[in-house]
Amino acid sequence: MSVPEWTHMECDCSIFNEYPLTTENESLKLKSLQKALASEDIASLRYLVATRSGAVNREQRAVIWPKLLELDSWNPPQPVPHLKHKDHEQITKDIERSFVFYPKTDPDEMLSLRGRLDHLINSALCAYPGLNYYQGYHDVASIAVLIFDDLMAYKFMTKLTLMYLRDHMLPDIESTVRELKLIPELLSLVDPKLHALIGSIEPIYALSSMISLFAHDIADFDGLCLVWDFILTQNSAVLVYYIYVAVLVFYKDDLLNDLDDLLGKSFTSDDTLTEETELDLADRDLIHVTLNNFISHNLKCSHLFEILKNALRYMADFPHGTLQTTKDLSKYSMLRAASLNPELILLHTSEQERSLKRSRVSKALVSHHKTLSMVVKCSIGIGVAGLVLKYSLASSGIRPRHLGIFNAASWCFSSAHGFFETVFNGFAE
Amino acid sequence: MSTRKKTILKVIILGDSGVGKTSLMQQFINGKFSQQYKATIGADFLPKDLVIDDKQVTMQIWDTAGQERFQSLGVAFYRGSDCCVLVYDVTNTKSFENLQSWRDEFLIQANIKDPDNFPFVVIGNKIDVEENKRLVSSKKAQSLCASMGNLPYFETSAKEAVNVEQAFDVVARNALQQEESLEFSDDYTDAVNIHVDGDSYGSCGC
Repeated sequence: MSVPEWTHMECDCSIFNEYPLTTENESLKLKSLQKALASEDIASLRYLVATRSGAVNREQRAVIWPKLLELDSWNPPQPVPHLKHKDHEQITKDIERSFVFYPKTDPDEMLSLRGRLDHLINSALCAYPGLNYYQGYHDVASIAVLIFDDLMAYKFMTKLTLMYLRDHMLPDIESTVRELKLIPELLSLVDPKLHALIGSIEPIYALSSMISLFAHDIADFDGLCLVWDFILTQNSAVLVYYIYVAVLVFYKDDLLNDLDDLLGKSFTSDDTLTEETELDLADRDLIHVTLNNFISHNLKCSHLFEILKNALRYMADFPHGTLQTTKDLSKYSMLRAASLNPELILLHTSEQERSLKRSRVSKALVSHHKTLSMVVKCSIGIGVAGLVLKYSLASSGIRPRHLGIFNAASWCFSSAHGFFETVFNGFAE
Repeated sequence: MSTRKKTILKVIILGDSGVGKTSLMQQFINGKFSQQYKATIGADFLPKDLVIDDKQVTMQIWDTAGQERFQSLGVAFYRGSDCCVLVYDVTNTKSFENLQSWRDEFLIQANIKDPDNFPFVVIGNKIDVEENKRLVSSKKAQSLCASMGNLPYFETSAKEAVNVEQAFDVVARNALQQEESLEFSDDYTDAVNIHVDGDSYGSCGC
């Protein structure tokens, strides 16, 4: 690939990371973005977007985001007008609570935005079979409504759904919960001391940020767009997890101070952060809530660029492919299978259903362990007794017609087996 | 146990999406109402210090997500609850019909040892709507509450602050009673342990 003279050299682009970005450099950056767009140079575009101020403003984003997602060659199924998704009741409830942070607008405009949002969510979810709606998807789609016209919003959301969100759209939340474990694992690598304190807390505190690509929790539209600029340069949702960890690490002192106050213990002094920080249930609840609200309470947009850069650095230092959590994910997960074949949603769903069925069976087997082991023991006992009887009677010269006892033993065997099977299948259902 | 002196009452609010769980919590804790609460994702709580019969307590009101797919997360939050508030919307029949399953799910996920004696309070919210929009009658709700073990029942408007204080007063009292009964059973266990310890050193004491 030929290198355009106006970009690519790291030192050239680094001027766009200076703070504050001078008017001169900002207009130079805009010019560079325009050139990259005109020459369809997506690699340069990605590079430029991942600098301070990202894709700069709403107008630029409307053009740049489709290029980053390569939507020119993206042809989703034609949307069916007025088609409602099976989860439309929930969707309607959430649309009534959409656009809470922005824009500040009049009721008529709000009505029109919500109408567009309703149409977008229903059509994007109906585009591919097997997609389920979740609360938070409406936060994501709201951004598309604010940036694009309806046609582009649909193209954008269908691709974003397959690339960045599909694992959260299976019939249950299991795969999302598994992916959240990336957060404690990354924390253990990036900041072991912080991990010692909060690593054992279920990472559900990060749920709303992760499934909404931060749209649920960042109340500043430009700040959120900057985060999305970086996320969209990646072609995968992986960076989202690194950003979350980068926020926690960036504000570690604030976090520890908050926890000091709440828990009445000192976490700010080094020696209290050991591998075995003991927490009772009340402590764990308080930590959960502190983390749950951490982004919305603590994140300042002026720090975002530093945080995003740190996230990219963590991603280079600890690639997600090397993490145990990633290895434990389904091979159909969006974090493992880069393919956008919508078939993967159905494959992932049926794999999950099978594993649910298996876990139900094993749970049922554990809880009915006593009954089953008794049945097995009895049947073996009767069977062995039957065999012993058969041979001892045969060796003493008694003819087969006297061997009714043996037949009874066989009957016991088969009925025990039948019972076992019924129990097993019953629990599997 | 923790070094905190104050008694913590952990209260979980459950119910279908959009019935007004967040609004009830906000009205009770902050005395305000907004048309514009975000949908709740995951679980969050707000604390409120109260005095119940001269006893200082901190009530933690846990607000949860109403969408069914988030229900399985309850396992992580329901443990140690002292009371559960089941909320439905008087203009939404389905939210009323689901009360029983919210209750059952809670009992399983919170791993409640004595389900028959665990305190629930039922709230029918949004009574500020016009009468013709109301789809669940008080009578119907009362009879369900009676059949679920005489659960206390309140009709509220989080929007107009009707009956919210009264409902949460009963929630707080029942939660305190539950917490104290658990403390008592803890003390009882401790007492048994002390007794056993005492026995093993009995010969030295004489």
